[in-house]
Amino acid sequence: MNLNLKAKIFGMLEPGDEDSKYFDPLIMVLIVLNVAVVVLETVDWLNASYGQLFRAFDLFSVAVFTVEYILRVWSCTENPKFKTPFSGRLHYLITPMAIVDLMAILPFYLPFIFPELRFVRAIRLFRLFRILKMVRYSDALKTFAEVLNLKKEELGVTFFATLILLVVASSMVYEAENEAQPEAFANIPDAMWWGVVTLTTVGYGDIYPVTPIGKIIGSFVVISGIGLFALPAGILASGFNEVLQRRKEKQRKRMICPHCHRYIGDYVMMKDEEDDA
Amino acid sequence: MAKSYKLRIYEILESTNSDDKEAEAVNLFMLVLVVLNVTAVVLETVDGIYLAHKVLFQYFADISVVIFTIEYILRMWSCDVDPKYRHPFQGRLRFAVTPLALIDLLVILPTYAILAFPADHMLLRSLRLLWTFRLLKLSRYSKSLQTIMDVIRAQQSELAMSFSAIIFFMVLSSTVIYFLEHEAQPQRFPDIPATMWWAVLTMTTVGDNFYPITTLGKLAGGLIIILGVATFALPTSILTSGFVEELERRREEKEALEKESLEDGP
Repeated sequence: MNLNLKAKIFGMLEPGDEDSKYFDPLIMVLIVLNVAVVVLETVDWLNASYGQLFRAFDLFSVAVFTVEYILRVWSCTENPKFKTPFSGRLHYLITPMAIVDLMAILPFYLPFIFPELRFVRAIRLFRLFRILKMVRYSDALKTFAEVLNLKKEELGVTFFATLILLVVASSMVYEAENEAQPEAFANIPDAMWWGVVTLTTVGYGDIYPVTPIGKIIGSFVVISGIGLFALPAGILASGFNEVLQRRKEKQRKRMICPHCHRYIGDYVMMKDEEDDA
Repeated sequence: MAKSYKLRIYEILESTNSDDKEAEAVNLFMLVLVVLNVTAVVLETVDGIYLAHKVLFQYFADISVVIFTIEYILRMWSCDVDPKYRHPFQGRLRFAVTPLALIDLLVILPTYAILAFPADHMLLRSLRLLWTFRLLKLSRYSKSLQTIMDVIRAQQSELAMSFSAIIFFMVLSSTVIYFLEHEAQPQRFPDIPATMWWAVLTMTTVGDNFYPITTLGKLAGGLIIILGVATFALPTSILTSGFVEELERRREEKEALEKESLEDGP
């Protein structure tokens, strides 16, 4: 009986299951409302009139999320990966999603343990990390994570190249501009801020080169660097394309019975077949 | 007799056949009328032009609505020629709720609403906004707009995905920047929704006159900008690749058709 209940709860908590059909949307709505509350709470006039409601809602959500967290840790042994009652649960506790779940409720409990934290505003904002709980339910975010994972080497290389360019360019502009504008280009990190804002084509215009040499160096940096800064966007986009294309192809691998021409099931590619493809 | 009239009108209104000269002419006329209407709506907001030609604008709007109304009635009348909407009542009802039919209705509705409630100025103002829906009528007559619609429809799941990634990133980064900058610039970053405006302006690389000034804010801001610009550019590249795909598909279809007709020929 006990085992059955555990299996049932495990199925309910895991998304995509028949049992979780009603539970998933509830949690999703709760997460979205939570994020909305964190955002709207910072608007003074809203907080003045609905502060009570916001706090009551926060209390309610923490209760729900805590129960959810406890149930997840309790039932995770149903997953063959975390089978053993103690070390299996410990392994589960350090999975990214379990940490996210803990982070979602921790900001509420921490001030009880460390009372001096009560006045730290950051603690309240940490509640926003509840939005990360959404990753479990949102197909889009899962896809995004998959894309990042697929393209991590390319992205890493580009970021490294970007960083090098940024440091070199900023140092040069700093050398050229520091004397003329000791305030704006006070140090190289300041010049790096100029580099990021300029090379991403945002261009706030808070600091910019004024000396002829600074302008010449700046022009070279911008012309050669804009392409490099646009690379991550292209890599992400092509990764997106690739992942979705692959999914579409997988969907097409449906097996049709050669005799009656009816759909008889999905053909799942084996790992080595996938590598060959 | 009446049946063939209906069929002819249906053909003219819904025609996709470029050999049908009458249908092409009606199509062109409606296209020009819609473009002129949209121009009129835009120019009406310029006081100098509107006050000088008030009567002309009024006449033009009235005549257009009459024509659009006739068009709408004819469409509703003849739609049961299409096997999809064959049933005289239910079929017409289903036709009436298709997006294009709804747009047709929204275009003529404001004028009749004003006739029905002449004194209500609030209604008048909000209904004038509906007039811009005339622009949407273009999608019926313009091939390029139809192509864009096709591309959006084909890529809708990808677009939805990238938009939710964007919203996710925007909410997260605005909170971080709000937290780092609120104390230093309470005027510029008064709350998270206002910081979201910063995030949108920055990530679309529009860039306005408000930006982080604290060291930590600049550090986080720099990282957020580099990642955010890439995320916000996703819909663009999805649309681009969708466009290329769609045009490629059309070219292939056309080539296949040409090949077929060559083989069928003498």
